[in-house]
Amino acid sequence: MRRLLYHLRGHVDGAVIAPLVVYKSKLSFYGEVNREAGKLPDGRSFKGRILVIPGTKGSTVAPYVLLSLSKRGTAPQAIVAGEAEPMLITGAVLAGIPLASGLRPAGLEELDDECWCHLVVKGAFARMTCVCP
Amino acid sequence: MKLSKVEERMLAGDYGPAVQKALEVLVRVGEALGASRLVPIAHAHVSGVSYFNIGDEGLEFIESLSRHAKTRVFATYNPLGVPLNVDESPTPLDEDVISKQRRIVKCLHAMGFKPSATCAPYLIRPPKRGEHLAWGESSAVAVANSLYGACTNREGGPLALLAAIAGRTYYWGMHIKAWRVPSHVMLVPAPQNEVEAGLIGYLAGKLAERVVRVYVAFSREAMGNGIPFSSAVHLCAAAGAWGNIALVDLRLISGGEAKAVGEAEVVRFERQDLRSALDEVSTADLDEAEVFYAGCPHLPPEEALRIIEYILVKGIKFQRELWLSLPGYLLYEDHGFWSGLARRLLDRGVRILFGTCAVVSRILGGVKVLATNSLKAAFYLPRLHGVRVAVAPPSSWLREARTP
Repeated sequence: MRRLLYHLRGHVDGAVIAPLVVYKSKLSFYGEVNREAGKLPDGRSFKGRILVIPGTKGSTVAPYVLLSLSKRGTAPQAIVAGEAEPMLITGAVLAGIPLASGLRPAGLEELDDECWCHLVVKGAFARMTCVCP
Repeated sequence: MKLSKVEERMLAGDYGPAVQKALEVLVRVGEALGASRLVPIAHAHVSGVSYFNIGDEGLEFIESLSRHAKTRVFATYNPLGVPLNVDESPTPLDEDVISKQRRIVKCLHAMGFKPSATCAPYLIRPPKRGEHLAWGESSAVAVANSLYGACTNREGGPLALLAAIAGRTYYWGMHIKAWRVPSHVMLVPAPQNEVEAGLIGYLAGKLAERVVRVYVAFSREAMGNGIPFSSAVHLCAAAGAWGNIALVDLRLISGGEAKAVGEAEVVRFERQDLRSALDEVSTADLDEAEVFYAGCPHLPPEEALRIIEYILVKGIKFQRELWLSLPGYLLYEDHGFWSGLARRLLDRGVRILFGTCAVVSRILGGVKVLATNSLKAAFYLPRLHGVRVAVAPPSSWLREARTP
């Protein structure tokens, strides 16, 4: 059992306790994500989980997709990114999805889908504590 | 981020939920970029309004926003996914798409957007020097910063829309004087037409890639009083498409010697470089082209009229069609002039498309090879629609149509 702690940058406030889904490459919400089921390109679901990604890429339609996910109830509980681009922040604010950034590549490596994390985002600061098997 | 009293009340919800949400987004994005405050804007121009670009999600968002949001500043929007004169579209369009596109436009008008449907908002309201704007649309951004001396970043996605509702944007990037210093100095030969001007923009885009500051120098001997506005627009549009350039500082210099600015390096280009640039961007020959496409960015009405007058006076009839895309506001304010002209020109092989363009729509249909004078179109069309492109000035198309 590993206990891990991360100090992150806060963008959209919120507090959640949820299992993770870790996606190791940059994600394009438009075109790559299955909206109906809330699934990643590789078929894993992010619905009800904390989505961990290095960052986002591609289209400026991303904010609309995040909004649509949250309306359908298939959005992730929260998003933790290596880097938060303007379109990701825009989408997260509009959709009300807690968002933090600043996760280092090493952090991305040590986390996996078996981990449960407690994420608290308040103002410019965020803190994530994780328990991994 | 430091907010004014009014902005704090906006954020607290005193101005309604739409303004609150808009301000929250602008503050969050601004803070992430390191902006210290917001800045009031004079004009917002929204880019993603084509149904093909934003899809059902975008439509849903704009519809829900329009129920309780109004623009606080002068606001315009980009070309649509379907031409305003739908009946004259070269490719039949899906009824479902047409009706959804109409719903988007209806919502924009309900929010207070000026009926515009153009990528050249500076034709509707020329920006003033030093004015702060929130514009989407890369070519318009480069034109506003470069040719009008206004200040705007490239506001992607719904950011410009939210800025229109909040009447402000984050004070960052091109709004700050220190950012508007050239990173590269180019010395180039004087462009003879808009294609050569576009090629200079292309070279600028290649040179600076993501860096947004380029300084272009011309030699006065060859230029006379400067380059025409339309050529300058083509230059800016190409720089915006091939690089992410938001400001092209155009200077005419008489001695032909470019001066370095700060730490910017001076790069010299000869006419030969323009020729090889043309080879790089052309993926087809003019002979293969099925249509000639002009109006990317949208043709100013005077320029379109000049071309049309020439065609009518010379009695030219095109075997291979000529397509001109013009700002949508012309048709919104029309009293039968433009719509009549468009119908009359159809049997001459000239198709005028209002309020749309080949990039954001599907009007190209089955066209495989296209000729254009626009380096911006030469960037987007092969990538988005898989067509091959021949780059040439419209005069070559006219010349060919005249020879029997």
